Amino acid sequence: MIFNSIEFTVFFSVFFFLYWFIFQRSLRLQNVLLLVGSYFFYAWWDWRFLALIIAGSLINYWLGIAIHSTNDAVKRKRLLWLGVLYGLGGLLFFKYCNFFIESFVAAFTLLGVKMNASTLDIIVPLGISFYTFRTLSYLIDIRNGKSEPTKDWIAFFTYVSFFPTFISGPIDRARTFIPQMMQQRIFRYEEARLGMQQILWGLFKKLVIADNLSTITAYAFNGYEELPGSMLLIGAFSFAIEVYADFSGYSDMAIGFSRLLGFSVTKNFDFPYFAQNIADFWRKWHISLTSWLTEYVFTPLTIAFRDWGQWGIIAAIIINMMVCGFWHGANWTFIVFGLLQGLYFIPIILRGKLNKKKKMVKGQLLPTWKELLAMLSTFTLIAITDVLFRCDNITQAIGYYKHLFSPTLLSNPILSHSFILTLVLTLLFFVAEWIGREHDFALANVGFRWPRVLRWGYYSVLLFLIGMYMNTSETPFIYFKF
Amino acid sequence: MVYVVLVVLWGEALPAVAGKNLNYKLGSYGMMHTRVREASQVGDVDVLILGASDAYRGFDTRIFEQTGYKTFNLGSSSQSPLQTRWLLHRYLDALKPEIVIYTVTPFVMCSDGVESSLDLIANEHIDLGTLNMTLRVKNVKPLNTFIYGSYRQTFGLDDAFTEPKETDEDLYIPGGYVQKKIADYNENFKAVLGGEDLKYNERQVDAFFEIIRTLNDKGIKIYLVKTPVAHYDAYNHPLWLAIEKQLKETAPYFNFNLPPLGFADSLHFSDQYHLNQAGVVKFNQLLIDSLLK
Repeated sequence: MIFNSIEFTVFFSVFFFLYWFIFQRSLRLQNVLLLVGSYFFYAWWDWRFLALIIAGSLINYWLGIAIHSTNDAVKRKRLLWLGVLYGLGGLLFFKYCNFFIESFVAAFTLLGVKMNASTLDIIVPLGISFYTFRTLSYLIDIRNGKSEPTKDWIAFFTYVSFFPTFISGPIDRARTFIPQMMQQRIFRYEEARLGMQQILWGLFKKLVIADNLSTITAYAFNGYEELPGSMLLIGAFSFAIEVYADFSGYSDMAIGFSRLLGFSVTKNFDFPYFAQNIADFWRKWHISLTSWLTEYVFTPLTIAFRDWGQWGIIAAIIINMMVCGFWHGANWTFIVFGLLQGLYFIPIILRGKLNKKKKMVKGQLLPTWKELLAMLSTFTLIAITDVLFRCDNITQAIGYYKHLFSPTLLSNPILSHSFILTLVLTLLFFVAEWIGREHDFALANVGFRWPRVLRWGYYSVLLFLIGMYMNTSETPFIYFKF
Repeated sequence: MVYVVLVVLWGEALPAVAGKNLNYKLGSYGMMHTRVREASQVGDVDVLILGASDAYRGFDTRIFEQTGYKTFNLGSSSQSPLQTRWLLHRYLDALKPEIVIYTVTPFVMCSDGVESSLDLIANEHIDLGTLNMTLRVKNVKPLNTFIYGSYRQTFGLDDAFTEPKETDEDLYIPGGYVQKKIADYNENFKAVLGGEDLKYNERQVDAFFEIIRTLNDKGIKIYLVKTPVAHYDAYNHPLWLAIEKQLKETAPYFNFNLPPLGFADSLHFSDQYHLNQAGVVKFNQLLIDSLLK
């Protein structure tokens, strides 16, 4: 049941009606409905893992209370470790077990030792990386005294499994989400309207931009051995934009659906391709993950390495980015991707500009040449590195780079009509993003004060553009596999 | 409403290439425009041929007529069971066949049915049945095409259209057969079955069994046929083997790819999936001898 499916539309319509018209009188009942709806949503994917979610919620709920109720620092630490081991253990088993077995065998083969080890036939539970991080932050925050555990098990269980954000985030913290579960929620028309607009824009990004670009990306990455470097460059750019439109489109929909249910969820993207350096980019990309990693990985590491000066920060950022890469998947490509991203930070750190936020070009119709150059070079660097993100293995990535940086890079790429149409749509998409860059999402401010007829006309035009230009073959969300 | 108006405006004002999900093409690849008009006038037949391009390019109605079987070929490009069911619903009572020969390929059982539905929407008379078929395909492309086609037919904008019966490559033969003029085998047109991500489309399978039920209920004899292809070894795919097993349990099934029938690439085929005229003659005679006589 993906957001852009008929099944989800029916599910959400029924849910919305029950939520606001039948269960609205009692907060408790509304919360129970949220939990049941979330479990139903998950069971639709794979009911077998529901027990895993419930067990995980139960253990973390109990651990949260246990950590808070003891003053014994050692015991608190042990209880936290129990939670971390449980969470990361599950993640390591389901997501990374085969990677470790294969890497272990490969390492021994390199040393000339032949090993016979078979990988396990494991199905990765959907959303495991996201809900594990949710529960981990809950326990760490309690241990660090940043928040208190909730005694309302329904609120906690819903926090873990809240269906709009369950599969691919944003990764909300308990300290911002659970208080919303405790307050009577009121239906606000303005908020719902904004939610609907954001869903519509998310759909456009996913169905029109990401799914159409996926054809160009697939063409380049599947045939890289025969294609000229210029086409591979377009393929790399195409994938960078595809992954952004795909994931930010999903996030927009998740945030939009949450808004319709009266919840405020963490913003996940802040127009990252208008960033002017790599640090700026990572502040704007997958914000809920990067802020999680900053708080629970990078900051503790910088404290641990504080005696090493700037090199301590560099070490911390490289480790942090490698964790970030590895979080995405059990593959060396992601680790190398993270390592490179970490290395890109070195010049910024050495110039002492890590914490200096580049101001988004505000109020101007066009950026200055300097700003434009900074944006383009950051985007190019990201796009070239994203090749690793898209390739199945390091060998393929090296092959892609070899063919990309060849004399054919300067040749004319051969583009079909449909490719050109997709590129035109992508260009228009960036224009819309540029115009709306000072808002929550590109269209947040469009039609805000228009009469209803005009506003509905504008929604219809957007719907029409989706209907006319969406890719009609089903393309799954990229981040679902993470 | 705004959506409908915009689809019409888009179709009228912009070149076809700009309307990605609007594909309204009168007189398309398989001469369906001519075929359906003939189908409504031909009257009772002995044999009705159904299926995709292997049907309308593989069964020469003249050969059947010579042996005394009045035949109509209602095949269409990429015709999947969703469209076959709809065509039967529309023409079965008018044609009243005694025998139906229905060609089957793994592709149509896995198909989304989009290509074929576009062909039918553009070339058939649009009514509520067309809308029903369009909605069952569950794809926005046929829906946009249906909206635009409804507009064009309502205002009679296509009434003057006449499909040429002959092109550089094809010749339409009365009775629905399309003869390929070129006899040479085009080796470049190759697809390997195993190389494609084949997956059963449940809606197609359901429609297929509904077709069989309908024909059985009406007491019409049905033969399922796999027409000859140039590289049948490529069909050694678990999915096709499973489909074949199911076909054999459903109705009399005849596979014309098994030895010792002796179809040869360069002699009898125009490409991997289609026979040339020499191949069609040989295949049709074999079929008439083994099935009908």
